[in-house]
Amino acid sequence: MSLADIIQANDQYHRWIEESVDRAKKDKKYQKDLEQAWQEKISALEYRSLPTELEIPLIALPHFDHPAQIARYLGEWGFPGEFPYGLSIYPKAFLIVDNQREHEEPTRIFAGLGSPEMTHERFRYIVKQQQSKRLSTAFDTNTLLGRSADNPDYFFDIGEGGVSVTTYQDVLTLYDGFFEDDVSISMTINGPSLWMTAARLQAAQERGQNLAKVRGTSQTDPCKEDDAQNELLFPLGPSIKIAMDMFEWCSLHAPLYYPINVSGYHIEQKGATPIQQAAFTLANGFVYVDEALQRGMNINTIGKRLPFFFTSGMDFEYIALLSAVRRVWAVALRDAYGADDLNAQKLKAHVQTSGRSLYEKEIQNNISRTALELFYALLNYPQALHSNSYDEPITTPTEDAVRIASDTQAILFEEMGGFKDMMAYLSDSSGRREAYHRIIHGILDYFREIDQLGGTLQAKADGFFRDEISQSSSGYDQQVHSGERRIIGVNRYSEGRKESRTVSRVEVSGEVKRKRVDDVRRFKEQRDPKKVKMGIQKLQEAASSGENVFEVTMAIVKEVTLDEWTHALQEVYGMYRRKI
Amino acid sequence: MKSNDGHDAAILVIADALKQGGIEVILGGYDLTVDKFVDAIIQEGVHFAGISSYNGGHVPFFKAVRDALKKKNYPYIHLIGGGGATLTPEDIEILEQQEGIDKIFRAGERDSVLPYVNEHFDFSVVPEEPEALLEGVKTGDELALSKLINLAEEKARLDSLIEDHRNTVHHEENKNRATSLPDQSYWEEIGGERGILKTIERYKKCLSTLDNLVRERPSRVFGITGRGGSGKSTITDELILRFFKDGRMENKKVAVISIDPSSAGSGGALLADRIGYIYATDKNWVDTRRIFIRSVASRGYGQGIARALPDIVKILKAGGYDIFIESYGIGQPDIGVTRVADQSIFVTTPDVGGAQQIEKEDMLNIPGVVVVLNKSEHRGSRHISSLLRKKVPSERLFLTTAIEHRNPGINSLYQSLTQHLN
Ligand SMILES: Nc1nc2c(ncn2[C@@H]2O[C@H](COP(=O)(O)OP(=O)(O)O)[C@@H](O)[C@H]2O)c(=O)[nH]1
Ligand SMILES: [Mg+2]
Repeated sequence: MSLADIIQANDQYHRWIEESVDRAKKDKKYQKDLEQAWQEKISALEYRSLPTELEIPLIALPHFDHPAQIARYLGEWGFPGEFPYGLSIYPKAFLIVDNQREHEEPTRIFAGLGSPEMTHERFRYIVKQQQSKRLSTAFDTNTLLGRSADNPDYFFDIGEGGVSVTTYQDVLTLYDGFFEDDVSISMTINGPSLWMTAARLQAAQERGQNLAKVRGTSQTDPCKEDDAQNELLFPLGPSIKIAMDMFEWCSLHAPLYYPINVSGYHIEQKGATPIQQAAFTLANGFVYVDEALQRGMNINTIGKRLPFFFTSGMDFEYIALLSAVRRVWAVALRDAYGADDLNAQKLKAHVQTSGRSLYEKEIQNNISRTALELFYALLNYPQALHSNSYDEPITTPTEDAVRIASDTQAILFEEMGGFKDMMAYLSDSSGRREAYHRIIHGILDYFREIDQLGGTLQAKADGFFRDEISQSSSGYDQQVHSGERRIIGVNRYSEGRKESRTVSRVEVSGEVKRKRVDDVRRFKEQRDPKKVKMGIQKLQEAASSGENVFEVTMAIVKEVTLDEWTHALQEVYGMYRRKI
Repeated sequence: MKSNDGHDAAILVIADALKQGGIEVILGGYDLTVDKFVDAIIQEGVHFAGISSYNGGHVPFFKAVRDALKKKNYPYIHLIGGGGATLTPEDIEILEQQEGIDKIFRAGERDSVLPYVNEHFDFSVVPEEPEALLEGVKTGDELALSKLINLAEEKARLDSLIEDHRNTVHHEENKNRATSLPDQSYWEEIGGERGILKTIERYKKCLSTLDNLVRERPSRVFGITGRGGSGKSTITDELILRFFKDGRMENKKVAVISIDPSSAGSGGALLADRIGYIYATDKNWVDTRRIFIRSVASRGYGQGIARALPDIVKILKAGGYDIFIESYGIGQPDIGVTRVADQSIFVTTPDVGGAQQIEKEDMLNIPGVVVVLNKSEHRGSRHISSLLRKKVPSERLFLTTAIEHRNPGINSLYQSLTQHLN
């Protein structure tokens, strides 16, 4: 499918809304139908009594004087849980009914530092604080670039900023005790994602878990790596190819697992405006849809297995960014791709507050920033949410800061009246409506431009995405620098402020690093070299002949380490060329 | 400049500010090892080296760089660093007070990098005794080669100044004086020292003694040119990778001279080609001990090359290297590289325009030039290739997609370029 088809589907949908509004102004029968449908919604409303004894409905429905308004509301937004999912993909989302939520609270806390043992410890601490068991893993640079912890050239990087993983044993240690059906593990990893996912799935099996029940997410978004992070191991083409190998394999064998997470977050962190984030991420999503279709996968299966990841920041657009993205996606999936399973039309999104919006100066102000970004995010009803710790500008989050971050979410969810009491209580506010329409428009404009450049992949090869992002990035920088963009305590009201340096940095000691080297060496020495050699050979054969590389990775991951896997495939595919 | 991870935005901002301030900036690469960073410093002959680091682990890294440079007796270096707020005041104190790092810039201090560099930049740090470098050239010592190349660039700078001076004088229609050297007051005015002229005279003598060595050590010089963005660096890197996989080249050494334009206004430059040589700088793929990469700014010389180029080529030939020159193109007659190269390679892409554009292209008229149509996966490539076929014999025309690993077009190009080599 080309972006032109997707633009056309969205344009057509837009026209359909206008036509049905027009009809609702003239056509008496249509008016009756609309009024009746609306009446049904209102009669079905449940009510609740708040602790203050105020009676309110569970869903906030607007008051309409004319059926044309109903037509517009249903067309533009849809009732919560209904097409085009402008308000929410679920009808109840975060409501607390009978002291329970239909969907578990969306909190996810990121962790990863030093050795697998250290991070494992941290996971246990986090799980104790949460109702649901959701783990989120950060890896160190060595791991993300497919290097072994025993590579002496990169000794300094071991365990910095994330956990160091090189061997199958490391994965067993890292998630020990968490290979359970009620635990969801997400892994922020891209280049080496196939190896890591295979190790994680194999480990689950070894610990007696049925693959069909394993839950979690691997990031595996090579497109956004090319746009932003630049941490791929192989050129973009083969990187996408093997990602799709895993996507296809998991759809058959690990159907609850999300092997790809289409991520706008990093695109935004790199400097993209909210609309660029939305447009580029969706364009990337459609690349995966198209690739999966070419393999003969069913569009309904594909749609259900592709979750997204976005930022919520301080810019106004975030009041409705996810809503707009959901609508463009739903219309494309239903009308351009023909997905008739409603679940395939619903874009599921994890949202994280913006790390870029946090500053070192007056560092505790970051708590307020994060809280407000959470609020913007929640107005869009995401499926999962991560709040940054206020000390992230200077360190891997400390325990205190992590607690504040997750408490902030709980305060919004459970303490504050609003999300827990009434669904969609601000959803079609006039401010959100303005943002929503402008964002949809902006996304489609970008699609047109990308389409003219020969489609998403060609536009990437020619540097279009990166150039756009980098322009926005310098613009943003300039705004902060000149004070046009006001940052409180940083470029505004900053005179006489002292540097706040109350937090201390989390350190990875030389001892931990040396132990990592020893552990990895020992693992490597204890293997049967023949098996390793054969495994690597099988992998390279599969890669050269176009077979499913993930399937082979599953078969060899217990022997072949991350760095060996990386080298073997680089010999076939070549290395990724970072763009400037 | 080195970035310790993917956070390159800040590096580019600083690099650009330095360039605007008249400094020549070389991007060293991302995620470098100590060895790679030190290699880059030595080969490039830089006076300042900067490290940007966002993750932890920077204190030992800085220290290791400083130690390695000391061990190699590198004379000029001034080490600066910076990065995110993960550099704590305690780190900064340790680095500046104990580990011999000259200056760490904290987040938000990037505006002070240029003034700092200006304040500490010392033009006079050129080696005093060029003669002492000759032995090192013979043995292929990278530091000696690099120092001599620094002198070559310094000589070229002075030659340009003298030429400018003559032109001005000429302009004043005083033709008699135009042949004489500028006087002392002129040297003071331009900030240089008369004494450096003596060093340059000695350098010139040294260079002429290299003639024999150059004759003894046959080497090939490939000159690659084409517009910015056409894929020259990518192609160069892919060719070098093949060179090192080629059994015939087992004992050979390769040098890359990469020329990029200086900014006309400030005189500064941003030299980023080194980053593009991902295979040529990675010891997993090539024997990096047999590679020498030098980035050179054009300094307004024109024709896609730098004034110092012939000297640099000579020095590297004497060092026993086969040479790839990555020249640059801006669409003017950029054919300077053809004068120093044994084999010129012109890289073009499908988006160059139509028949008229091809008709106007000077490089196509150079006898024996090899023409590469890169990015040939593009829709427009068929049209352009048929236009090119009318002007270039098929054995000298190659259609490539350099971003593709093991691209057959690059394979044929490599075969053709090396068919007479042994
Ligand atoms: N689409 C496409 N892009 C290429 C190709 N070869 C190089 N590039 C990209 O073009 C850009 C410029 O390449 P580079 O080698 O730096 O060009 P140079 O300025 O001529 O040295 C880089 O982003 C390369 O990845 C190709 O065959 N096809
Ligand atoms: Mg280049």
